Amino acid sequence: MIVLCLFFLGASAALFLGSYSFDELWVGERLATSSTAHLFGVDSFGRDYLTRVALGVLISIGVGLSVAMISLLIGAPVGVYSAVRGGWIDSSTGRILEVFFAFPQILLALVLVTIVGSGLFTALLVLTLVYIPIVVRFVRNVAMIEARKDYVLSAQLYGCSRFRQCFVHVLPNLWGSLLVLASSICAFAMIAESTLSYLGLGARPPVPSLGILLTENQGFLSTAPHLVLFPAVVLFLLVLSVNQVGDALIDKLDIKRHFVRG
Amino acid sequence: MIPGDPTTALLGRAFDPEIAELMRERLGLNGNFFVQYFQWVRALLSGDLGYSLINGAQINEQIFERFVRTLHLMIGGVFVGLAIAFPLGAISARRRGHLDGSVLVGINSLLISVPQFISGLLFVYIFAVLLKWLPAGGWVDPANDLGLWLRAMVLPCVTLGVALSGFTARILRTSIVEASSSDYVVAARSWGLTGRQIQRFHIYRNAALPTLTTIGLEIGYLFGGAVVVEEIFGYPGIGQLIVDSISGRDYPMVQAAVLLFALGFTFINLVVDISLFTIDPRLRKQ
Repeated sequence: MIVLCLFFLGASAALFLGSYSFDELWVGERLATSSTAHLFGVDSFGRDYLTRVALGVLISIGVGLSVAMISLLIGAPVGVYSAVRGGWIDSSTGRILEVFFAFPQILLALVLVTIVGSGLFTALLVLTLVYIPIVVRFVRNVAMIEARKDYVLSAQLYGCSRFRQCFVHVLPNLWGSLLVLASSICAFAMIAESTLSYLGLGARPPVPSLGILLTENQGFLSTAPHLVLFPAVVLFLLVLSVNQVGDALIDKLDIKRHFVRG
Repeated sequence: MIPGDPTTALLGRAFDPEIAELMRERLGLNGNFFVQYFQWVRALLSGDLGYSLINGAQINEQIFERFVRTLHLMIGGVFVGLAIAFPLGAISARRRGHLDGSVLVGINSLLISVPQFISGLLFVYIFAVLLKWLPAGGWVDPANDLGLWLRAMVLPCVTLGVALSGFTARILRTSIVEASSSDYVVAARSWGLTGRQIQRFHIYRNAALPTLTTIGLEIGYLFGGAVVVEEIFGYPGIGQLIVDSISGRDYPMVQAAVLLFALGFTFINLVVDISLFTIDPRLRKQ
C-alpha cells in the first residue's frame, strides 16, 4: 500500500515538478543514460524518459482503478440480484456468461479491439467489458453463500422486497470480498492494458503508456537497455504492489481466498 | 459501426470508390450481416475457413501450419511451467512457517505479478544480449537445422512456462495446506501411518484435484499468452497471425484463428473434466 502511494506521489511529483513535457525534444542527447538533468535518461527521439515513465505509471494506475471500479459498479449488482432472485434469471445469466468464458480474457480483449478499434480510451472500454463477466460470476458465487444465511431469510419473512434484500442486506456484507476482487482486477487490467498497447492494439504513440514505451524501445535493447528496463521494472513493481495490497486485505479482513484469473 | 473497412486497408487512402465497390463485391462483403454470417457458417461446416482478405490465400493451409508451431511452443511451455510449479508449490507448502518457505512464497508472488512481455524481454536481455547464449527469437525450420530450432525455442518456452507456473504453484500450495489440516489427515495420523504414506495417499491425492483444474485453465490461458510471446520473439505462430490480421483488418483470418483458439480452450477443459473423473472415485459414483 505504501509502495503504491509512493508510486503515485512519485509519478505525480515527477510530472509536476519536472521541467520537461512528455514530448519535448532534446535531440542532442538521444539515447543518453541517466544523468542529473534526465534521471531516467533520454529516449531515441530525445524525449525526457523520467517524464514519460511517470506519465505511463499514472496511465496504468488510472486504467487499473477505473476498469476495476466501472466493472464492479456494473457487475456486482447483476451478480447479487441473480444470486438472490435465482430461478430462470440466474440460469440464463449463467448461460450468457459461459460464452465469455470460452476464450482466454486477453483473446476476448483482442476480438473486441478488432471490432471497436484501438486507442487508450477504447482499450479501457474493452477491458471493462471483458472483466464484467468475471465480476458477475464471482459476486454471484459469494452472494449465493450470503443469501442462504438466516438473516436474509428472516428479512424475507418480514416481507422485505427483493431489491432491499439485495442491496441493503447482502451487498454490504460482501464489501470485503469486493475490495479483494477490485484489487485483482486492477492488477490484471494494468497488465492487460500494457499488453494491448505492447501489441500495438491499445494506446497509440506518442501516448506514453508503459506498454508503448516497451514496444518503442525494445529495438534498443542492446544499445540502450535502460529504456526497456525502467518501464519494465516499474510496471512489474506496480502490479506486484497492487497484488500485495490484495493479499494484505485477505489477511486483514479474514476472507476465504477466491482465485480470480484474468 | 466497425471503423475501417478491408478495402480501404488494401487500397490505401486515395482510391476510386467504384473500384472499392467492385472489390467489396468480390470479397463477399456486400449483403446483410446475417447473410454473411450464414455463408461463413455453411462454408465452415464443410471445413472451409475461406480466404484471407489480404493475400487471397486459402486460410486452411496457412492456419494449420502455424497452429502446429504454436502447439510446439505450448507443449514446451507446459513442461517448463510444471517443472517450476510442482516443486515450488509442494516445498513452499511443506516448509510453511520456516524462512525458506516464506522466501518461496515470495518468489511465487513475483511469478504471479510479472507480465509475460516483461519476463520475455528480460530473458532476451539477459540470455541473448548480455550472455549471448541463445538467439533472441525467430524460427528455423527444424528439418533444416534441428539444433538451432531447439535453441530458438528455449526462451519462448521458458517465458510461457513462467506465466503458467505462478498460479499453478499458488493453488497447489493452498490445496496442500488445506488438505494437511483436514480431519482425514488427523485420522490417518492416529492410525499410525507414516508421514510419507499420509503425504502420498492422503494429502497429494486430494490436493491434485483443484490443481488439475487450475492447470487446465492455465493451459487455456496459454493460448492468450502465446499471442504475447510470439510477438516478442517474432515466432511465426497463430498468435502473431492474429495480431497481424487485426491490424490488417483481415476479418476471416481473425475469425478462423479465434475459432481455433476457442476450440482448443474448450477441448482442454473437456480433457480436464475427464481426467478429474478418472482420479476422483467420488465423481464417478454420481
